[in-house]
Amino acid sequence: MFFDMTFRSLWRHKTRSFLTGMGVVLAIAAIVSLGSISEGINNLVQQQLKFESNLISVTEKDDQMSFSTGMPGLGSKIPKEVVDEIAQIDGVATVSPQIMQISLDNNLMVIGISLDDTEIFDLQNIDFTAGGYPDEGEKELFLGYQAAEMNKLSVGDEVLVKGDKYVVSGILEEMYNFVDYAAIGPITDIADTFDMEDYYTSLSIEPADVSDSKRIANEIMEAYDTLDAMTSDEALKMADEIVGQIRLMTLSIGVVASLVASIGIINTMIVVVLERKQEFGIMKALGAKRVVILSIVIQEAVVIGVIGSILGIFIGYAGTEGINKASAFPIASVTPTLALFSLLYGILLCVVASLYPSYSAINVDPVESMRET
Amino acid sequence: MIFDIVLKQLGRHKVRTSLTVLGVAVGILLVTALSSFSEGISQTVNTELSYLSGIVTVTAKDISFQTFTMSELDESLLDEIAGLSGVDEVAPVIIGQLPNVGNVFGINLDDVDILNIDVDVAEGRFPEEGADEMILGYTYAETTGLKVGDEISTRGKKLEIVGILGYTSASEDSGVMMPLVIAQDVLAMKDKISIILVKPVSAGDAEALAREIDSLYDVQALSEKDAAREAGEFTGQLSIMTFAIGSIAAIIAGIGIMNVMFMSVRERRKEIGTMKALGATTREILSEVVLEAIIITLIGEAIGLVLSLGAVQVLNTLTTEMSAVITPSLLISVTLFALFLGVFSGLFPAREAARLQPAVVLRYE
Repeated sequence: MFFDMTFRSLWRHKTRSFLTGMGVVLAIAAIVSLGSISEGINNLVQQQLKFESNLISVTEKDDQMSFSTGMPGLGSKIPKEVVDEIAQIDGVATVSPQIMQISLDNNLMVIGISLDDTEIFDLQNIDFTAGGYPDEGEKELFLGYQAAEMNKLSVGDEVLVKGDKYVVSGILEEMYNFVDYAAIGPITDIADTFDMEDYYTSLSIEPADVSDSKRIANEIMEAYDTLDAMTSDEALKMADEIVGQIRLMTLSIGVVASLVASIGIINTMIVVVLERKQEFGIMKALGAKRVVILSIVIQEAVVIGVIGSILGIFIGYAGTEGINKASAFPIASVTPTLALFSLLYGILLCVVASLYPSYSAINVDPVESMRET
Repeated sequence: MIFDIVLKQLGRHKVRTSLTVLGVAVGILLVTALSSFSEGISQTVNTELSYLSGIVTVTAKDISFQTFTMSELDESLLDEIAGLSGVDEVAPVIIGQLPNVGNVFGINLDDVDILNIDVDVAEGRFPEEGADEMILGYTYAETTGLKVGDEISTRGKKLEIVGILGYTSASEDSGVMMPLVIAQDVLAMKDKISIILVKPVSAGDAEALAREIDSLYDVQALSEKDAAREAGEFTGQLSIMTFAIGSIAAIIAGIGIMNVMFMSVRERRKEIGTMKALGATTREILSEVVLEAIIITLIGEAIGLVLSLGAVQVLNTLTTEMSAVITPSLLISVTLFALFLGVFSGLFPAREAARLQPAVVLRYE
């Protein structure tokens, strides 16, 4: 019965309901599409950390490129001899060097790895969709799923890396981490292309026993004052912190937008209550409890909130698709959690915004309200 | 006369009017505060461009404005370019990052004057050619708290801080400067440089010289005009993006104004009908409603701008890497945007008001 009344009241003032709802729609759409960026980054980072789980990663300190590219170590130069020295540290099983660079010809993220050490990464369920590992010394490389997709490359194609011609030997399955965006080749070939014969950009260390990770990392940092060694636990903590900051930033823009939308709801509901003062007065005179009147007002707000939020989620989703189309790294994603959060937030926003107007509805004096005509 | 009616009208629903104004203020605050960051970045970029006036900048191929630090050239190119006719002076520059240090600029110290920059030494002196010394940028010294006489060790070398530069508002502020050969050594860039600055004999030849270098070598040569275009593209995109994101709240506020105006027109049907019956023209009714919407937005905008002046102050004390500024052009675009919102949100309700038929409206009691 209540719902009939709610819909009738909203329908009676179509323009007003539409405009009030539009505010909610836009605010929720902003939260969803901005939030999808931080959720996308979070997905990527979490998958990446799983891929490198239990490894210690070593880069140079103050490597400011690291988080702008998502990959650590782009600017660092770790002398080659360090690998052998670190391998001597007690408890170190494998030290696997990498060279990470950007090929400016096509903005491809290029990684050189030592092909003998690939088993230290979590590659169990990953397969090539086509082709396979490259041969060393042949200027061959394999591509992550997105790198192949975005550059429209398939096995056997040639790709330029800093002026050198490479042949695509294979394409990986989608892994949902940074590897998707990379071109990976034998480290000796990549070193030759980028003139990095004497240096590596980062090292991945597999400890014999995972519980030794912290001690090994500390030993490395004590021995080399320019190196930063991070265990996978620390990397996880740092990633959470950074993702948290991005989330806070994107969310706060959406929250400000939703505050403005809630002002619109307050305004509308004040007018609604004012218009129906007599109605509420009569209801009260006929014995309606305060909670009944309260729920009439709040219900109207909730209906606006539910419809507005659902529409907002759809429009936000469209916005996310747009962001992904426009960016080089299409990672933004609307997670179920984000959608659910936005829906609940939108409803809560409307309820809170209607509290003050409903309070004045409760306090309508029956006698007073019927006297004024 | 219209003005009086508008003001009375706004005063009639104080809660409603002030809430609407608050919405606009919050919306304007968001768009201004966000845009002030992109303005800050544009300002830094423009300052740096002004240092390069009349100079041709040579980088590796495919280097864009965002990847400037990744440029790498062979040092041998330096003599070749210096030998071209029409070249007055060439200066090699290295840009890089060092562990324990941060952003590094390597330059031959007698080349500093090729830049149109007054590099003042605030404290101490410039490093000596070939010595393991460096001079800190102004902001860098402030944030790290390092002083003249301190030493930083990096990649097996100890570098002594011999001076602190004055404030330039360019990227030099947040880095350190050292002799070119020392930078090449610690950055492991033997026989390599990042950028070559070329000064033509006459500034008017810069464009032609850039094209000549482009065609002769496998590099990218940018005249001041090219660099300004590149930079303008980058800062333009940035400011469009921040404005678009920041304007969401203000647009919602605009919808709120439209809603309030519709409500007030409906409430005043009879009043408007009477006015029309008494001879008020459609135009007068239209402008009364639109003016009401504009006044709400402009009051909101004024409050929003005052708030954002404060917000920018707070933001600037919180972050050291970025500086937010509210430039006159930002003020103008925000005001134009607010005006547009006011007109847009007033127009539809005004049309409804203007179309009211006196006879119909007054018939109902």
